[in-house]
Amino acid sequence: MAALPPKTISGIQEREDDRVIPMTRRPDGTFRKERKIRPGYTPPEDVAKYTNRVLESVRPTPSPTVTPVATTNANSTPKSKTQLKNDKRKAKRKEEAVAAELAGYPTATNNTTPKPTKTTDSTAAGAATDSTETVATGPVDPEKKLRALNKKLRQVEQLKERQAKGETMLPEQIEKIDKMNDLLAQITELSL
Amino acid sequence: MSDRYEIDLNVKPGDDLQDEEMAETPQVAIKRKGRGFQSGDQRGDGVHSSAFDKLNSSDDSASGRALKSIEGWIVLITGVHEEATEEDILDRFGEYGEVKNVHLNLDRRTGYVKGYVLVEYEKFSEAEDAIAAMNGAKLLDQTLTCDFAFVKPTNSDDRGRRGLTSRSRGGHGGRRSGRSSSPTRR
Amino acid sequence: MPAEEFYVRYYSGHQGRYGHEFIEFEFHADGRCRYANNSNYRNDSLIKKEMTVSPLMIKELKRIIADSEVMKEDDHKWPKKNVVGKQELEIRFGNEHVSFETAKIGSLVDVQGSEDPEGLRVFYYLVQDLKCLVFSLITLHWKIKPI
Repeated sequence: MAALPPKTISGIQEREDDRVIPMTRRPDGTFRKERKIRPGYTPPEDVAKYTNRVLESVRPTPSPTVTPVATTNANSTPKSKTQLKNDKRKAKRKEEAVAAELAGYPTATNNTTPKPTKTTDSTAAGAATDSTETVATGPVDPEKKLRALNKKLRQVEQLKERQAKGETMLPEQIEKIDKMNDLLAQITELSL
Repeated sequence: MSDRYEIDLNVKPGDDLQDEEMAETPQVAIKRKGRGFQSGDQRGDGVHSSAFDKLNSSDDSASGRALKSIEGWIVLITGVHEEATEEDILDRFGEYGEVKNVHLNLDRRTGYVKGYVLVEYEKFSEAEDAIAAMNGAKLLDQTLTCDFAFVKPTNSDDRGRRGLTSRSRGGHGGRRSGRSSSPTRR
Repeated sequence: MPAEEFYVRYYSGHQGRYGHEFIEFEFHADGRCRYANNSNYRNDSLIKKEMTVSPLMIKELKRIIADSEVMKEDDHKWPKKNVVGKQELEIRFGNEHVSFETAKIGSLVDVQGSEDPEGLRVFYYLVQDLKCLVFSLITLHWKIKPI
């Protein structure tokens, strides 16, 4: 078993020159016969799912190569970089804001009052860019994701309680409850 | 053989004979297996309900036992080679009339032809000719068997039997039938 | 007329917000085939179709089932039915009678981690093949698309 390459989802085994569903043993000891697969055919179950970077960062990764620890490490360095960048940007924007202020409202009296509001504005803008930045640079901030997952988990728990009380659930809600194990798995993965 | 088969040796004579299931082969042991037998669910809907849509033959005698589908006559071909293609089928079966539809279903797991094809002809005579000519013919070295896919219902139908051996029917009749020794498991 | 006992029934469904939603079909040895599909989602639709297939069709169905060797499988290690619903496959074939019951299988990925993945795959793919046959029969006979 260990020597052979892993089976696909449909249970097909790749061999040197062909693909088969190998003979397997039933719990009662009898055997299921080997079945050959038509050359070039891939069952729908084995067709790779469409993916992109955003989806990958959201989907639980089955490959152990991308450990959550690595993600955090990889993430922390650029994060400080982006922070630096953002600081620069904030400073620049402040200047721009002041300049715009001066251009837009030429009255000298306004000069002092809008300044603090502008500052808060630009921080908010900075925070916004910060989050988009992180999404773009790589996987979502694990802490953020963890928070989101925990929130979802709480919702699922609430749903479960309601279900236990005998409330009828929408199919979507049932679906959500069913994803609980998925959520738990993702949470444990992230909180490593 | 699985050890989980339950073997019920029927049956005490005179036991609940209104059930067809035991009326036929009362002496044979039936091996049963699966959680469905324990499940007490009973539903009155689904295939065990009534008032199903049916197509009825308007022109009788002419078509024998075959039944016309909404738009034509459906011929079933079995023994179809696993590597046969739709072209192979159209090639051979197009000789008897225009094939309006072909369903050459594949095995979802292996990708090979499952072994049967359904083709549709517009006219009864075309379907009849195709069956007469192609039943027993060879395609890619395999012998084909051909017949109409749909036939008129046997004996005036709606005999009130629902589900021959089904347990859903089942929950009461089917399960109890001929198995008086086993208590109801719920 | 039917030389040996034969009956097939497949059911997949659940009780939910929209009531009892299911698909079910059955074949009898004498060729009677029934199909029922109830999905109340969005549009109220209850489809119930009955047709009689020829002995050759029943013979082919038997061949497909025998070839799958599903009667040799056992459902006791398969996932149990749950809130999402259940599937049932009942087959009476000669002196053997199985009535398998398991959860709906959303994706085969779920199957992989289960205790009897190969057995469950046999079930899963036979069901696919049976559905495929039934849909073809219904489509061709009634010229409607089953859900």
